[in-house]
Amino acid sequence: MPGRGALFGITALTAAASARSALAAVTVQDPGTYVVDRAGIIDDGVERQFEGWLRELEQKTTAQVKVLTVPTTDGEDLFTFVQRHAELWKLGRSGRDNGVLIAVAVKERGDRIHVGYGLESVLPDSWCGSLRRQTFVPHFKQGRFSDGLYQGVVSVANKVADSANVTLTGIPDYRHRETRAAPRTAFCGAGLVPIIVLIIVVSSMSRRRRHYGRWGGGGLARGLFWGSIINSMMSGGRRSGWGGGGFGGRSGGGFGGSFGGGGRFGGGGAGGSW
Amino acid sequence: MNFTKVVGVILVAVLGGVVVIGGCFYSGYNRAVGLDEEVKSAWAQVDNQLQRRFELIPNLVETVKGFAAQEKDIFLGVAKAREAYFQGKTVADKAQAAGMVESALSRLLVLRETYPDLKSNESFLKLQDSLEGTENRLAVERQRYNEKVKALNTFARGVLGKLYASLASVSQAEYFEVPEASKTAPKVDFSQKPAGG
Repeated sequence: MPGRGALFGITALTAAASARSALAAVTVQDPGTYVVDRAGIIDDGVERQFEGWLRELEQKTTAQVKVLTVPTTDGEDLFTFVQRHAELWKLGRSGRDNGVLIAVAVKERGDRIHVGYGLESVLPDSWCGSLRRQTFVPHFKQGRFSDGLYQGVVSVANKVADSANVTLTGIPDYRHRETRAAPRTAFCGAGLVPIIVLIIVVSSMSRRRRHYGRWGGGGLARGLFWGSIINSMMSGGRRSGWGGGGFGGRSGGGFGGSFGGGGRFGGGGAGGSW
Repeated sequence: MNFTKVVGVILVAVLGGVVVIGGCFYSGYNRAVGLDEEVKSAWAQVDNQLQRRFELIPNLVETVKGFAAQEKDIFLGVAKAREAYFQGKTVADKAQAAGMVESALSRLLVLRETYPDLKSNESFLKLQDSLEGTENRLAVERQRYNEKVKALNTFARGVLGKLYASLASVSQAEYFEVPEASKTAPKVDFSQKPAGG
């Protein structure tokens, strides 16, 4: 138990923030790194490579892709767990909602690629699903987490980078392609576009209010809301502190910089167990 | 002179009162309208996801039919639930029908245990991913919608809120409740657990 306490910041913040978290004991605060390996399943070398590529990805495209592993969610449904953390960390820029959270819960044998509103067209559910079936599942089954995550994270990073017409330095040229299955439906192409446009329009109309709405109206909840912003600012500051590579100019950074920038998630992506 | 002074003071006080009360009405009215709009836009999100689910269903049914043509009851159940949704007018009707769709879909998806070929069929798996994504989004948007409804209803039930709401002809909204029937029905379990799970 004390060991677990050291691993996870079980805070009153989320306990008060959402009704669901009455059950949710496991909450990991955003430490400001791109890989948050609480389960200790990612090799150091791989972790360093991820950090480099994902930082470069954010600097070049503003998209924030993060990896979170936990030993257990303490029984919480993985989708709920990941959605909660994606919203808590506010991955992606406000207004662009271009965040991705790739999560693994070891005890539950669950994994999920969780996609923010703004990247749902770049990383469709079926693409995420087939990616995790081909990279995560076979490797995770053998306990080779680093190998599975390596291919998966590289694929996601490349896909996001490609969509912004940038290339990441030193990243393997691994690109996951969906095998074209028989009935390609209208939904995949034409049907989805107006839905996405509508989502973007409606969400941009009501974004400002929503944040308050979701955190409830009470003074306590609002205080906690601001607390979480300050918290994420602090973690952002810490990160810009050790960002070694050549981007010193950014470290004075204002809002929307390298910390979770207010991106929103509507439940896109895919997950499952292995 | 004294008299005019008194009248002046009264006038100013009345005017001030009018301005203050007018301001209260103005902001109260706007609040009612704003909350109502938020509920509507949140409902649009829920409806989006429900629509998206319905667009996926025919493809899923077609794919499954290819492997399990004899399961006619299940296909019929899906079609019925779909029809009920489109006939539903109120939020409660739609919630009820959405619950029916959920249990019909779960029976459809469970077929993958009976017909193992389905489990390895890529187009079935992809449809399953898309459907699961829709269910998840639906859960998120449903929760957000209910939060907006709560905000509106709390406001519109207050002493003054009631007045503002009726002035703006805003009425309380209905929660999107998950119907009891679908709560007790087997949960839609899309995860691919190892055999037996």
